[in-house]
Amino acid sequence: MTVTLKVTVILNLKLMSWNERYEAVIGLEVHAQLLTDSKAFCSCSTKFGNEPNSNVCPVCLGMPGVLPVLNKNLVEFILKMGLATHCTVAPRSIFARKNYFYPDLPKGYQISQYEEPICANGYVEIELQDGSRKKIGITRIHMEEDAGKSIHDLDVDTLVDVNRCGVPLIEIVSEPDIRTPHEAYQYLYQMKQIVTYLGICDGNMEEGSLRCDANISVRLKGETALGTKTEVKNMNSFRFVEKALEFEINRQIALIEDGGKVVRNIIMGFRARNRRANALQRRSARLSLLSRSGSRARACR
Amino acid sequence: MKTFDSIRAELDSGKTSCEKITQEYLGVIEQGKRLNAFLAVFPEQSLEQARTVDKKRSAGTAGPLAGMVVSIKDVICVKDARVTCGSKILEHFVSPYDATVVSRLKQADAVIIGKTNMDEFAMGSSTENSAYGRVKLPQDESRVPGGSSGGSAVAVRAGMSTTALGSDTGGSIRQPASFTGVVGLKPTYGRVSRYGLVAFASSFDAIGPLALSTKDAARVLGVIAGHDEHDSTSAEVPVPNYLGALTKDVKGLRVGIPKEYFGSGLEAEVRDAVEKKIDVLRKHGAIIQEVSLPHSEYTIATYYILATAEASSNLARYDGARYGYRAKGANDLMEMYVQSRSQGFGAEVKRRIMLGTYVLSSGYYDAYYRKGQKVRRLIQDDFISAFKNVDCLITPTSPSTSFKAGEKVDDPLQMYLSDIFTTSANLAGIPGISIPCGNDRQGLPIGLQILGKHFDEATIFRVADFLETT
Repeated sequence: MTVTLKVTVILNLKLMSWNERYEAVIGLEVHAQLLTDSKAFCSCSTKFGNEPNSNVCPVCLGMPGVLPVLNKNLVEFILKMGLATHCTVAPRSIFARKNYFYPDLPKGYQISQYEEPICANGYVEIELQDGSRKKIGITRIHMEEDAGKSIHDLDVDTLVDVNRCGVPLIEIVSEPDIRTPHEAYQYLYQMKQIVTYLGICDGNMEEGSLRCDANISVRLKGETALGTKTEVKNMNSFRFVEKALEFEINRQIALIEDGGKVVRNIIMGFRARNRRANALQRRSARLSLLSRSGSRARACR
Repeated sequence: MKTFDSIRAELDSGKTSCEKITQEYLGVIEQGKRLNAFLAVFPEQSLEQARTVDKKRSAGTAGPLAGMVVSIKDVICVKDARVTCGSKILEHFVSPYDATVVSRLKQADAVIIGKTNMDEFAMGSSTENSAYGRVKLPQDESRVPGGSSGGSAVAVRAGMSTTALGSDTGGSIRQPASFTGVVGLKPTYGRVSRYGLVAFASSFDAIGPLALSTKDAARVLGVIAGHDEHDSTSAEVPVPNYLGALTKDVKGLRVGIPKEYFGSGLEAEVRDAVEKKIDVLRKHGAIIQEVSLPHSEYTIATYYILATAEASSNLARYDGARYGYRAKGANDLMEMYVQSRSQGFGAEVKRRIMLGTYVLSSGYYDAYYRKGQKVRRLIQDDFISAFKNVDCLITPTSPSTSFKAGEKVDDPLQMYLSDIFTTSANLAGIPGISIPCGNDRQGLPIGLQILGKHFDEATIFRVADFLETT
């Protein structure tokens, strides 16, 4: 008992001294599932919890010959979000295809936006622990469609439910202005408040209608160059975003202090129940098949 | 072979019925099986449809195309029928819906008789790239009918349907129309809904009619053209009365002759035939002037960069996961993709998917795709400035007449060059029509192409109809 305590105290002291010398640079990508009645590019229902593969039509199934028709409500919803976050609304905005192969993506590409997003250059204000206020910049907000769900854990072949396929999402990308896990928490809290106040998203992170990915790097205070970042995905509650960021910041600092290097990778599967971030292998099958058209070249979800 | 006018005359005189007409076409299809023009024929459904139209005719409620029998290129969806796109990968795929063009034809009381053979996914210029065997030219069966809408062109040429629908991404309606000696129209980009057309290159694809006369092509366009809520790229531009545009008058019409289209590589007989027709126009009061389209030499290169890029994305959905061909015996997801696509696609389709994936890949995107888009704009601007001074342009449709089967299959570049005069219209989005322009010494049809301003199909119909009937 005594020994354990000792170790903990030493570790905490070490962390404190590190934290004084380092700072974290955090940018968040928030996906909000919109409360439109129908999908982004067809008239299928977006209702959650229906019989698998029942909210479908030739368009969202990606049948040969079909074409997308943009849902007007989706545009109205994203414009509300853009105006609420002080963004500039583009008079001309274009969709692009993000191409990758996956069974829950019937067309072989996701319709998204890349070069000319509809909203850009905004900000939200958050409250810090000392009561002061800080502006977090919004790089862009764009429209895209959700993919279906692959279910791997049943004792059969992978099953695919495409009900969610084509459900409208907006992606809100922040500037790397966030410095602490607490600021990230405050930022997300603001986002939830805004989307629920506007009535465009129910803001429920546990059910996946609000999702958050984080880009994190650390650097010595006073440095201007950014460190190598990692991406943490699939965090399913506000509290665990905070926890995951803390964990990842400490991991990176410890690594650097030990003479190691941060490797740019994607960390998947931080879940509320297992409080640990697992660096999974890059899903090479999916990534190596990436290409872009309409100019979208980014790692997949 | 009958045009719609003569069919209508026979119907009106009571000599025949839609059912009899459909029966006759079914007979011709059966007799001409060796030409391999059809991938599917609908005897019961077409006769049933014809009987319904006959009833409507006696009730006086028949639509404008009552008596017309149409064949549909197998890249366009007809509800409850297979849509193979000439590919093994869609061999058993049945479409759950009608393409907008098909439902508009049905609504106008045209009878749909079957689906025509084509180059796989409309990639080809000879209809030799079909997984279901090549289509033969009726005039000389050792030769090709052009492509990719070779089946539709042969169906019209051989009297297997009154008209046909084809698709044109880089000349796939006009070049086979030229090789078989029929009329083929590629409308303006956005003129006709593409909902239900299996996509090849989305910024190029157009659906259009093939027919024995310009008048019949104009009739079909009048029915299928116009905005469709299922296709956001279909333009909200009013559809004029195309038949009313066939005035038989070309006096004062300004006709441009692009000098770049009459240079080397053009067969002398083709050139002479086209120039003769230009003289006819001149004699009847048209003002003929030479124009220049300075970026013409980049047409084929630009087309093959942009169209293959779009194809690589559009064809990603054929992965064996949801419909179509799935290879047996794959151990994991990657193997299922690779084997299904390797076995399901033919050589030309794979070539274009690889080309397209390459030009879109990071590191090459700017050098190829973005550069290609810029050149495309220059080519478009060439046409827009030419059309400031002229009302239409006249060129040969293809540099040669039909070639022998097998002659160009191993030389893709030679094959691509047979579309050298047609792809520019797809890059620029303008309408183009090919009409018969006599035969060469071997008796093979020559085609003349008329290109028009965006949404001005009326003018090219007028010139085509004038040349056809003068």
